Amino acid sequence: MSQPSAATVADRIALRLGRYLGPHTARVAVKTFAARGLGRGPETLTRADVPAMTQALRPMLRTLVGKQRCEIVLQQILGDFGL
Amino acid sequence: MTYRRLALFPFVFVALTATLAALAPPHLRGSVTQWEVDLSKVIGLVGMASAALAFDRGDYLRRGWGLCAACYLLLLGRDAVLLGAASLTPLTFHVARGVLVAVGNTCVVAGVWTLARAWSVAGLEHPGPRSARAAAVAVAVLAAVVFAGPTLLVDVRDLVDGSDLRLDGLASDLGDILALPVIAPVAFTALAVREGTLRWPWALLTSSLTAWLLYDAIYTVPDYFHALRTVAEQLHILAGAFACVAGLSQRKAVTEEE
Repeated sequence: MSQPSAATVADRIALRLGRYLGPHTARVAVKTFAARGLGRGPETLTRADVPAMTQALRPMLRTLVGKQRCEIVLQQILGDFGL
Repeated sequence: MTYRRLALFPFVFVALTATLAALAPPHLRGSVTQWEVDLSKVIGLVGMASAALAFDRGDYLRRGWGLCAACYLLLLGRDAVLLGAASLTPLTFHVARGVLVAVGNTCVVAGVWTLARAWSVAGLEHPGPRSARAAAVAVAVLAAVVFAGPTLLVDVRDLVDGSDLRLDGLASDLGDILALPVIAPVAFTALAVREGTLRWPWALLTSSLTAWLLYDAIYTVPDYFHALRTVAEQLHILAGAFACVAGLSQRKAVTEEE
């Protein structure tokens, strides 16, 4: 299986968050937490960064949707990348 | 039930309560309206408690919704004290009312501030220029002071000169002044998630707070506009109905499977 492109990684994470936050704010959240958690822009994200991204997104998601839903969304993101 | 149907419910509910109040015989109209206000508090309590219980212990929003639900419960307790007034001494009556309203208003101030801070606690920034957001907060603070301030001044004056020891009124006025300015950050959160499912609880919570603000606004108008008081009570009912559906839509947003 080919590795998804960098843009696709950010977009696919944003797609999962978009259900709750809307597509625009989801992209902003991915950008914010990629910078905060990994110190990089969303365009540089690779499949290998996905676990670290889920860790970076966890406090935000837990605050807004609660622990249970947060874990479901993070598992879905990991699942999207076969992780 | 869909989010849209939930959002329509407060309008249908108020159409029914307003019609019922209008059709009631004049000597019963006050009692009918009070019953409707209490019913709106019951549904507000159910909605907000159901939102709180959708979250786990320790979740940030469980605290916010739970405190708002506690406020509705305590205000219902205050109304129960009114019903039992005949069997209470005047001192017990005033102290019970004062304590229930003071604690209830402390809960709602803490609750709405907790909800309003959710976005920044999540580590996100509201959309729009910082100056525009500050201006919107300033307008909300000003509106809260203008609409709830005059009643507070009257209650403080009555308390100081000893003509009326209504501690519950004072607590209610202070609660309004401290809670209503959060309309701005709550509305910003609704705006930030305007394309996601979370827009529903935040937009409906904004609507509930706006109905409270308009209710207070009407009470700044002199007493001789008596018809407006009927409108005010329907806004009171609308605020409770919006609180109900805000809570139910929050529960739906975090528990519904994709």
